[in-house]
Amino acid sequence: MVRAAAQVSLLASLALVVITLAIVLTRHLVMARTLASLAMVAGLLAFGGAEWVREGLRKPYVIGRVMFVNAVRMPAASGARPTAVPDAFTVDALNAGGLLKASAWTRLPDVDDATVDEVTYATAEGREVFKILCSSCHTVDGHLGVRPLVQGRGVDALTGMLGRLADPVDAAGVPTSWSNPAVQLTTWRGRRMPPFVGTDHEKRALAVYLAHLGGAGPEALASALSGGAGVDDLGRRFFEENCSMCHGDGGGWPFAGRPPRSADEFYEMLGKLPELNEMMPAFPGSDTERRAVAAHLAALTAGPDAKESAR
Amino acid sequence: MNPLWLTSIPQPDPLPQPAPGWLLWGLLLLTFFLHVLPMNFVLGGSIITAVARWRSRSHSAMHAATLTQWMAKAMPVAIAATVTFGVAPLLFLQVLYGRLFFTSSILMAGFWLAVVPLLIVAYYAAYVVAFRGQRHSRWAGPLSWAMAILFLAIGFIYVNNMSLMLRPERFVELYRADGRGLQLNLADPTLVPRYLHMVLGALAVAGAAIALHGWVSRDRDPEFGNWAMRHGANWCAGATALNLVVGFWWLLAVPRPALVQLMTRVPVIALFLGVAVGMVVLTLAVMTARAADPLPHVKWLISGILITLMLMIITRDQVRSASLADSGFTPATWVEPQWGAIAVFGWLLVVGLATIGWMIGTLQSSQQHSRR
Ligand code: HEC
Ligand code: HEC
Repeated sequence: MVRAAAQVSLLASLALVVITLAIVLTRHLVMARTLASLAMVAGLLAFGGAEWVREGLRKPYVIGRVMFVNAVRMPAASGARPTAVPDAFTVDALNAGGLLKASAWTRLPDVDDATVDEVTYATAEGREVFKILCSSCHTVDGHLGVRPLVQGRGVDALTGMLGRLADPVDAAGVPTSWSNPAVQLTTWRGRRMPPFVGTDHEKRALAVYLAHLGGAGPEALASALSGGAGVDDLGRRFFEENCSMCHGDGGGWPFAGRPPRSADEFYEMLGKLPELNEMMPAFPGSDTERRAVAAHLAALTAGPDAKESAR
Repeated sequence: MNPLWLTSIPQPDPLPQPAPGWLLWGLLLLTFFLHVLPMNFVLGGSIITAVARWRSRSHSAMHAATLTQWMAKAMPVAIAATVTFGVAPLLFLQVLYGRLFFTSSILMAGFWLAVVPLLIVAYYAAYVVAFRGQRHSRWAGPLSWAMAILFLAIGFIYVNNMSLMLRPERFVELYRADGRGLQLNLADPTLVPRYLHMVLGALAVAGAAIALHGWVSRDRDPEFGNWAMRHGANWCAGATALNLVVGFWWLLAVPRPALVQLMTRVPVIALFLGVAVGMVVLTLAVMTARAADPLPHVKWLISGILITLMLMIITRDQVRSASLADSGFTPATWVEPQWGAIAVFGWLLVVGLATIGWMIGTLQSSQQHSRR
């Protein structure tokens, strides 16, 4: 996209020069109106393309490695002066202290209002988090609208995605901390979004809000909020959070419908995910989680669909 | 001290300012002055034109008709100059006070963005009046009034923003009350006098510009020239007389602590000088309007009004910094001048102003050619 915009801008600039010369040289004002209109269009395209490139190149930062588009800053920005007021809007400060607390610009329902249930409140919190963190790029239904992007996604899958919007790595791709001055980003599917910042509670609230936009009903949201922690649920949840963007129903490589395998077989495979496909990272959890996910996958492939296609 | 509202406006950028504060401040005032000149001509001139059109109808006054014709032709140029010269002070305002100005702009975003369509409509109206005014003279009157109303509305929106940005302690409260970007600064007691002061000032400056036009056209048409000098001076006198009163109203409406701040600063001299020169301007305007031969007074009148304007721009800036100092706002202090970039800017500013001077000269001489 940026490359195309750069080409458009370059061509339009050339056209602008040529047309302007043509206007100057043909002093008798041949086709003055047409030429002037063309010059205007070329000028708009040249500027528009250049602006697009400028915006595109710096994303997700406004100031490279210092400040993201949503004004969230790196911890103690390199070279910055110590400020009189400690910066409350850095990645570290927000992760520790919470986003909603650090921002004055929130409009939340009254906590003590009995008519506001847990789901409504979490949705409202999520909406505020979205406004602060995401609305510098996304609208809800308009440009880069988020509603179609989260259609049909569950709270767990979204929570997982939010945890991976952007991770700090060093030049060699090894995870590092945000305060590393040479930090680079690996972003979710290369979308070049800034990281989620805030507490786990706020991440969950944002996921609830997004799932709500994606069409999840109040019951689904409520059960996600109160999510139990049984072994069966652990596997499902871990899978939802870490794998469903590729292997869920909406992803490119769903599990439902595959030939059944046993939990033990899956357990083995989970030990060598990057070998199975280079797109996959190594299994990102504990042994308990690995077992739980294996059981969940076995259950998934043994589903009614799977039996049918196996026949 | 860390007032609560400080967390509601963006922190200072994690980048140093590219030029020393005094230079940015000086450029803000200089470019604002350059913006105010055409802006006052557009705002005050659109009102004067509308009135003159209405009068020239009932009295079939020939001079008024000549004047409106010239104003109609000058208006599109003046609007373009206003917009172009507005960009620079807007940018310096953002460098120095962006944290406040952006926040207040967002609070009133609906109105603030409405400036663009309002301006486009007014601009088109100006072109219609300038080029079709004769053929569709039935429309010229209503269109002139529409332009005046549109420019008054745009000015009102600007004054709202410029005064709202001085009230950071109210930002969050306003947002909580309504976060749709439809807040104006109506509860502020300085709003109305400030707005009236600006509009009356615009009328005075536009009056002086008409007097200047009379002076310039005297060689060609002495009768019209004398009339225009007196007519412009009349507007200038009336507006300035009212403005002396409204100015004190504004000053008294400034919250007490900020007023104390203001009065204890050295630059407040500009205010007293401005009032004094304003009174001289009033006298000169009355003399010009009354004189059988206005010519000897008119250049003093024009110099006087320019000096008053400069002094008042300094005063306006002092009211701003006093109000903000009272709120506890401190401008960013981290400066790392980029002299190379500043030199390029200074050079381009000079070249740009020279180009504009050349363009105005060319326009003037081409108009004189077409008249002959
Ligand atoms: C720097 C701008 C930017 C910011 C800030 C940003 N996004 Fe995005 N986001 C994008 C772009 C660009 C895409 C790609 C859209 C597409 O492919 O249509 C995207 C895609 C997405 C998707 C779809 C992802 C997928 O792969 O299917 C979701 C969901 C999303 N964003 C949510 C968020 C949330 C939640 C936030 C706030 C925490 C956020 N975004 C902040 C730019 C941004
Ligand atoms: C970035 C997308 C992506 C993510 C995230 C991902 N995978 Fe995969 N995975 C693939 C692709 C592509 C394949 C190979 C194609 C296929 O098998 O459909 C694959 C294959 C597999 C296979 C082998 C399937 C088979 O029958 O051969 C297993 C098991 C698997 N993934 C498990 C997981 C688990 C568990 C996670 C979460 C921890 C996960 N994957 C996360 C993309 C992904």
